[in-house]
Amino acid sequence: MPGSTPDKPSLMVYRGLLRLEYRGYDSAGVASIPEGSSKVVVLKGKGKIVELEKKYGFSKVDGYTIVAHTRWATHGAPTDVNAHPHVDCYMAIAVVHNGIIQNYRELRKELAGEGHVFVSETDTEVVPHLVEELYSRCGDVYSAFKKAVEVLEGSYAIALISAVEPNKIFFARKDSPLVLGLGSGFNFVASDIPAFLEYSRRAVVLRDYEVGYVTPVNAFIEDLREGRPVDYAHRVRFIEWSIEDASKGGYAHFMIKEILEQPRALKNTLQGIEGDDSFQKAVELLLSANRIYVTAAGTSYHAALYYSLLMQKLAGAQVTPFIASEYHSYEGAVNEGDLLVVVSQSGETIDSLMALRAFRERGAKVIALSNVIDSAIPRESILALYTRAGPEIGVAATKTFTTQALALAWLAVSYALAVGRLTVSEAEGIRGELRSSPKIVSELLPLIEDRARKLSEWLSGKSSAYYLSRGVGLPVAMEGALKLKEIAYIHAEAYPAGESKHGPIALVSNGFPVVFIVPADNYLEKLLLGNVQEMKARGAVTIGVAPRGTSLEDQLDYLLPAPRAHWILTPLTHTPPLQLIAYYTAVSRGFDPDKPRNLAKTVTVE
Amino acid sequence: MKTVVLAGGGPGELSVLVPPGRSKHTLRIVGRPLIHYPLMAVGEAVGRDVILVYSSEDVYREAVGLSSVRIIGVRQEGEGIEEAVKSAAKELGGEDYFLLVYGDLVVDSKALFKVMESFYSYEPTMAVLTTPLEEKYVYTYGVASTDLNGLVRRVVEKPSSIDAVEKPAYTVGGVYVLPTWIIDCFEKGLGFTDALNKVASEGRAIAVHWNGLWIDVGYPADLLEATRQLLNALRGLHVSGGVEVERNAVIEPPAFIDEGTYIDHGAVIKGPVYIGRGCFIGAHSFLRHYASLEGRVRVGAFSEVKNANVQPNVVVDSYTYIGDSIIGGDSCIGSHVVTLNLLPDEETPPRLREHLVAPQSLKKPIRKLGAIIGYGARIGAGTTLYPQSVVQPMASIEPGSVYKVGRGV
Repeated sequence: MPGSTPDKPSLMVYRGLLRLEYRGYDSAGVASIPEGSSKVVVLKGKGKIVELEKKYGFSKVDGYTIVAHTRWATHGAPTDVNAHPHVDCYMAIAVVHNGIIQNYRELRKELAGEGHVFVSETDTEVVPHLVEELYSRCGDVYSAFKKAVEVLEGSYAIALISAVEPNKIFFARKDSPLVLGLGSGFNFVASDIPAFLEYSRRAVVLRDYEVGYVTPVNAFIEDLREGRPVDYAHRVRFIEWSIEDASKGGYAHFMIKEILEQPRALKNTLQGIEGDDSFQKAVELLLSANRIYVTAAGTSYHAALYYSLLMQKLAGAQVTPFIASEYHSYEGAVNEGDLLVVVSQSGETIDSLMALRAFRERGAKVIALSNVIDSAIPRESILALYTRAGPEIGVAATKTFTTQALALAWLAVSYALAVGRLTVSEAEGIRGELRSSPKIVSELLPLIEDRARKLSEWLSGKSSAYYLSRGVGLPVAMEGALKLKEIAYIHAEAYPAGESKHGPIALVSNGFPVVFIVPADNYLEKLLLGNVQEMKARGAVTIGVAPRGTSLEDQLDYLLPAPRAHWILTPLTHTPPLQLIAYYTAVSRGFDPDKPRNLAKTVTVE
Repeated sequence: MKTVVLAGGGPGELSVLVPPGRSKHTLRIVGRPLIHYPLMAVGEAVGRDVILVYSSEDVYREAVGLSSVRIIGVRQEGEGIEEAVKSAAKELGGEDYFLLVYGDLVVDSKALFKVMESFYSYEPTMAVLTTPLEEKYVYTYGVASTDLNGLVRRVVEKPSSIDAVEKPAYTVGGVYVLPTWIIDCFEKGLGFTDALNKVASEGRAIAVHWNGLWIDVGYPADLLEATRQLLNALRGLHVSGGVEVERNAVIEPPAFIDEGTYIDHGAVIKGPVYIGRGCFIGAHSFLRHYASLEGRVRVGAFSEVKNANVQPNVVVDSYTYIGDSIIGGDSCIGSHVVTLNLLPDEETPPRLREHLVAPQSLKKPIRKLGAIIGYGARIGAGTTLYPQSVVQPMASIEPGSVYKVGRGV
């Protein structure tokens, strides 16, 4: 039977579950096979994991084979019944599943016709019943599981346990992340590495159409399409993150932790950029491209927009930015020889993945920029660049945005040098500025935290806000507005400052907050002065993130001083104050910034 | 690991509020003595025996009144943090580390929990709670400079300005996990800050950043801030037994009204407000935002109190205005007394927090601080007290005075 484990298995699973809570958080559950039992024990319900732990004692369940799940509803409301794990009619099989099974209605109807009783509204519940049905025909759990997986359509990462073969966990993956964690005397199957990092640092990232099972001492992986075992020895990856990287450390929320650790994330990213030649390869691909596109979703799109601005400004190259879910409006013009840069923190964003596939089909080459090594988007790209921000657990992207901006700025400068728009000394000068960004940001953060907190007390009483800027500050304004919307639930919109008088200014009245992002660029500062004045004239409260000693100082009602660094660093120096404003506004309005309503960290649903 | 809570030493900047033979740790904030707040946080986060170092008996008496922790009292010998920790040394037993918490903190138990959690998961030589830096008031705090990995490089006690410290820097939060051998450093005559720096340079000292409830109560303005933040957490209306509210009084929650208090006709109570035991609230009086009255306070007819910390047994006569003020225990304020509270621009009392709530302008927020009235003082009728004037304990002010003495605290 099982090997010796560092903690009681149920405790190990519970701790893993806590670390995955960020992936979804409306319900959770645990299933286990107690020794000698022919039934699984299932504990599950709606609510936060810690509350459910108090109610059910997830960490104290007996047994050595355990599956657990935390859910973010896609099919069926978050209720006790709809929580995972789901079981078959005899309570002999328990299943947890991420993704969406598209043909579940047909399967459910068919299985119900065979006499299976369904209790939930979820797509997942068809899996245990399907396996139960197939097992009754073939008498072997693994064969039944494989056959069941072949029938499923859609996306899935599945873990299944059966009281018939109590020391195995069966798994399958297609289009949803799944990772094996290899320990000594125990093994893990998880949707993300932090779940088992505390107990195991050896991981195998599974690929689509892989199925198999783990026992306490080994793992078996098979390719479903080719029908033969996979030799995974060379795919075992040693994880270098420490467990602290994936935990809240000493902070009240993941978000503030991730905001304050940006200097380190920037430093690691710089080391990554300078430590390998992938950025040089990317420049070569860009040079040989006919047309260049850049796409992303959410916060990553703001980084993409910044990149396109830099490419035009520094390198005179036209780069078309577009929002990933709108790819069908752009794909018509794509030909062989074109190049798409895809920016995705998780590397699993479905909209970006769909855009990538559509462009690739038309012959475009793809470069990915991601924070998660070996995730779907990098795997499907011709070249993968990585930010090294470490795992980001707060749902609102913070450190991944600034590290993306850093990596893309580096790429743009390298390209501008390669096409001769920048001289070697000019390029080195800018790279020097980029290299100093960890230090600049680390000095900035403590000086603005208290000022941002004070402002938030006032802002939390407001119902809307504008974020205005020009040039390189515009993506930053968009990012600041998004942060305020998504975690503080205050309606915020970003506009190019010059555009504000073409409509938006109509809403401005006495006390209306307008946040100006003022890049350290004398020309833009001068232009923005007029915009600040026209807002002030209409009674707006003007808040500025502006370099120290800015000429706008006497026009601004509240100043969050940023360092007077090179303008190219604007996303790195001006975004952290906006992140802090959003964070503290959410906190002072009584919301949990780590768990914004209706949002998931990685959007894997179209 | 054992916990040491330091509640010895003199009253410092709060001296006018603390009678002889008593300690600032027994000053009351929203119905509890100050010492209860760190002890409650320890009880929730660590929940074990607490070694309480005190100088005056009243701290010990108040502490044992709290049931959530078991108190081991140790009388402080000598002065300063070093001596206080040395006094507790014999109770620490043979353990390698101890948790040290200052007894004048109003702090969330989660902050302490974070310190412990970080200590156990990083296994450093020392863990230090840090809080956001208040640029304007760095000269009143200890400041820790850290590196990119959150390790403490150096601690500076009360730097003259923000420019005098290496950045990134944060306020030192008065909660530490320390190695027991630090006591040997004190024995050798090293000061507390020097000893911290010694540990930081020889071992790994981690900074544990906390941005929730945390107030170090050292200055009069801290009492107002603590009152405000604690009252902000108040929800709903709590009325204890034996409270009598007349028919025409208006109470707008959140409010807490404790046992045996009487509220007369026409009184308006607009929360958040705390009213302690056995108070008398006169007809047509007006208690509004962040008024906190401790036990047996009498507010006469037509008087107004807002954003004030009023210690026990205070009498406020009729037609009086108390705003943004701290009133020491057993004092008596005559009728028609006015506390002026709008601060001129050039006056910056230490630790006065700006709250940007409905300001005329964010640029120049209105800053207010009224009077600080010593214990047992008598303010004659019709007196006008200037902003941040300090009335000495047991002083008696002539009726009809215009008082600006002791300003500049």
